Amino acid sequence: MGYKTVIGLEIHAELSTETKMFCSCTNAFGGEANTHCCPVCMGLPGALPVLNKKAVEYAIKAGIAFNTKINTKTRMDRKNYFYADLVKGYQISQDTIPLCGEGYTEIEIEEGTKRVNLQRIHIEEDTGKLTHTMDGDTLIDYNRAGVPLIEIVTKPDMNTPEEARLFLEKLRATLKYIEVSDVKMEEGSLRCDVNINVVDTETGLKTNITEIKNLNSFRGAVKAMEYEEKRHIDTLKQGQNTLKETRRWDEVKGETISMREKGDTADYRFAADGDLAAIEIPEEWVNEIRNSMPELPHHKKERFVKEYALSEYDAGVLTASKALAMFFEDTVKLLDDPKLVSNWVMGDVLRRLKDDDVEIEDTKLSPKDLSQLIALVKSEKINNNTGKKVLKEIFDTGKDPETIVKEKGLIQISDESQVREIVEKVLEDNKQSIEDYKSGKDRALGFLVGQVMKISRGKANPQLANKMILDIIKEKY
Amino acid sequence: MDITKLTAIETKEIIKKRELSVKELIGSYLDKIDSVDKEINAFITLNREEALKNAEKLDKKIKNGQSLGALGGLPIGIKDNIVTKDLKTTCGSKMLENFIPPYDGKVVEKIKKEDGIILGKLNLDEFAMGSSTETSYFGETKNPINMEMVPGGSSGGSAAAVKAGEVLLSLGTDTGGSTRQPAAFCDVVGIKPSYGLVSRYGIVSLANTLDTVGVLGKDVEDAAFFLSTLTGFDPLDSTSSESAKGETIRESIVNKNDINTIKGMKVGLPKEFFQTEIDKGISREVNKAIKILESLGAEIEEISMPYLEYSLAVYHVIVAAEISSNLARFDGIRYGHRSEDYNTLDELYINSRTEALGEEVKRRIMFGTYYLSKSNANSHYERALKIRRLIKEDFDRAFGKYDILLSPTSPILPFKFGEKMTNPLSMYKADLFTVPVNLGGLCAMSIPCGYENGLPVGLQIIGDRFKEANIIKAGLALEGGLKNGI
Amino acid sequence: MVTKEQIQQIASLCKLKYTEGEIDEFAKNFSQVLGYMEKLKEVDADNVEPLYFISDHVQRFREDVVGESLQREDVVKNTTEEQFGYFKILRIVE
Repeated sequence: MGYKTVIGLEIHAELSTETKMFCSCTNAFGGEANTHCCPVCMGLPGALPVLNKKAVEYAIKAGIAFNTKINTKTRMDRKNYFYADLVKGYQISQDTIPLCGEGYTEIEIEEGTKRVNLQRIHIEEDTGKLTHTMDGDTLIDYNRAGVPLIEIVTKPDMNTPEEARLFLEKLRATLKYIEVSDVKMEEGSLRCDVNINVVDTETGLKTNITEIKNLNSFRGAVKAMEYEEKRHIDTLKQGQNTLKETRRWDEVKGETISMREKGDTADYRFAADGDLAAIEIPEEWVNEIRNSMPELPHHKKERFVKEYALSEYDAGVLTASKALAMFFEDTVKLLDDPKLVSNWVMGDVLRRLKDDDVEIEDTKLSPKDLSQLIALVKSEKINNNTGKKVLKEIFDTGKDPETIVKEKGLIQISDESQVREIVEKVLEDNKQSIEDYKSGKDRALGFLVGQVMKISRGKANPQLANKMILDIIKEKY
Repeated sequence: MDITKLTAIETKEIIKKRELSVKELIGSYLDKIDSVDKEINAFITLNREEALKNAEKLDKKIKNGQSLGALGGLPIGIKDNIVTKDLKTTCGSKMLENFIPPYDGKVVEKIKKEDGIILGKLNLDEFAMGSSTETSYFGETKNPINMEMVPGGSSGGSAAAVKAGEVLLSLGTDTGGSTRQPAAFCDVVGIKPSYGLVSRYGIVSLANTLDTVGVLGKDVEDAAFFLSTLTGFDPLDSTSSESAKGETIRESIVNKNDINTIKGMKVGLPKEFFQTEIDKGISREVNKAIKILESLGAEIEEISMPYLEYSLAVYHVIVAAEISSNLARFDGIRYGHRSEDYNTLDELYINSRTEALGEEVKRRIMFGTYYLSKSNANSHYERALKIRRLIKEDFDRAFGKYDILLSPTSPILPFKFGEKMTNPLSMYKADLFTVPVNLGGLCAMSIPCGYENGLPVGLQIIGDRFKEANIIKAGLALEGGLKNGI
Repeated sequence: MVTKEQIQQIASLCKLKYTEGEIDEFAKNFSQVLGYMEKLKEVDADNVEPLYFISDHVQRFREDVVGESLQREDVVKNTTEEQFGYFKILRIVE
């Protein structure tokens, strides 16, 4: 018996333009209530919208980054509905012809690379913000009304909450990479709705799709999806079906709560907005935008595989963030051993970043430090374990590796006579281990090397110690 | 001499010659308003203090030897669906009874810049929906020609105020005939410019793909001159045309006594217009006018435009659909009437809108909501937009051959108050000839051409998009011809 | 024919309210006007592109340069209830 989870996402990202979508009010976050407002974004009678070029450009950039078709002939439509955060009784959005059509992006899951297809990316205006007071009154601030948004709609291509998380991470990293959005969930510049249901793979029975709204962190989104996944499977197990409804995630209770049933889906009465003219996107403009964009993660990944002979997986991880990719390349420039640099970055460096929840650019580690450190290990001046300790020290203090090694006397002992002296003493003191080794217990050798390292306080060259133990056993015992 | 009998061009001249101060001029008009407007009710809001203050400013300017703008000192009225900064703008609705816009519409800005004096805001059918100015929350406006008759609509206040000498020039709006039909009913000249020639920024939308500003004046020269001060590309209006220039219009205002400008002009008479039911007196006067133009050298031919007969139905659907969306912003939250009776957000919306919007407005919102709703959008709204294209193509073909087209402005004469209110379909028929012009985005003028039983008849002269010069030339020729008894 | 239920559904979409009697009247009126609109079905327009925009030109873009906003007093001056510069709706139950 098996269940397949089907997840599709709708993401709203505010574009980091200087001005709003249809007027020249500032698009700065916050500000005193209702101070970033004009007749246009307040929807005053008589006011008319004029489309912000930058907003269109940013949306096209996002389209290019997600490999979408760019519709060169499009238009704005009105989505008609009433809500207190909406100033005109309609939102200027796009219905049948989105600016960007179908596209895709790739995520790295355990089984390998997975493609997530996009339905569309369209442009629209944001709404104002409601605050409910203790007295039950509602206060409205329209500073956010008219801020440009892109809405990214995926196909239902994700099958686990983890895949959805990986997609969201990828999406956030990409939008940040191409510098079109601040992608700050806590400021609401990135918002995500989830559509989820479950299929019984044996019977083919499906639950109705649940829409989850108001997710304000990736962690919350994943938890909500996990909760819903289980709820849907449980419902199927009981031979029942879920309601077609919209739910919201309650962070405190750790559960989703029904908001409203989606009986007849809302009738938004979409119609072309005649206050704007038909939109044409010249081909040359798209090319210009394409050429002006930084190298995209997936292009960079391909280049890393080719240029540095890295695995797909390693290249994928290294290019997931612009800063990390740059850090890697800068290090390789100083130390021409991509594979070794990649091992260090993918291993101890990334682990540390994850533990501290920071980006590489926010740490004390520089490409120069890392290249020096790797050079010390490579030339056997320090051993690998010492190298890890030095790395930790760099992260903590920002000192350069040579200074740390000197200050702490960590230079590896590779002088044969010095090592030999220690080895002989260890063998003298551990006769039983020698016997064990001779009778075929390989582990005894490891123990002996360990003893050498212990006595040398980690500084002995372990390969040398290993070889010397074997030599002396053969000679003497 | 009654100053208010002069035209705008004549008045400009006497101000320029300092035969009269601007303050005296404005004072005379305010006196006139005080004496006649109690009965006519053309004004919703009078801008008395501000007007006098501005008049004094202009007089000072003259005294200092500075020259005035093109509209220097002329008393102007503005239809109350065009927003005026710090001056109440009601749209003739209870919804906006106390609405004070924080900004000026582009045309208002231009009038102020050209030193026009805004005397006040003029009455209209509520939100410009109607053909009789009977649906205003602020009462009906009377026709100065005959007080028992409606002044037409929706710019009834604008037409009546010019005719009664309460203002020299006025702004109307025209979505389906709202400037031309009241011009015809009140015996003045009204021009509806091509869509995109004059900025719509600050015009409260009725149906935004059809709405234009309209101008009204005592004669063709006044109206054309007024229009020439308002045209031009506006970066704030995405539908404003970059090729829209006031110059082309100014150039077309030739010497108004030169009636030969129409010689060789090709004139089409759409037979579908003339085959419909038209008041006999109107037919007679319009035919006379056509004869005059012919005798002045116009080449007149009958043409066929097969899709014209669908205009009213297409118009009804598109207007209603756009209204339902455009008027959704009147929800009682940010401005406008808010009901005191609500417990939920939905009740706030429903009660505010139901209490403050009039019957006709609500009816059209209902129709439009129906036409746009999921199950009807294809069969009604999209279909209407398709036929709109066919109608526009009919006009494109016609203007491939003709310079102007002619028709009566209205098939009916001014009617009595209440006469058509009961049957909305019969009211819509008053717009039969004017509506297609808006569907095509064209320009047109209504010009007085005679009387039937003491009631005025208007001739409609239709021109291609941005060919205002043609209709103005034809209008000047007809005016000259009528004056010279040709 | 337009039913009373349809009229009610439309009214709820556009946030208007009619009494029972008005709805009856409306349904009649609606059906009458829709009858007139049947005329549009005569036209063979299947292959005609709908005319969404009357302007010939394409959309111009605005440069992304910050301009002036309104003073807050002007933004909120036409509303019924205002507090701390916010628009205010009194105690609504959701």
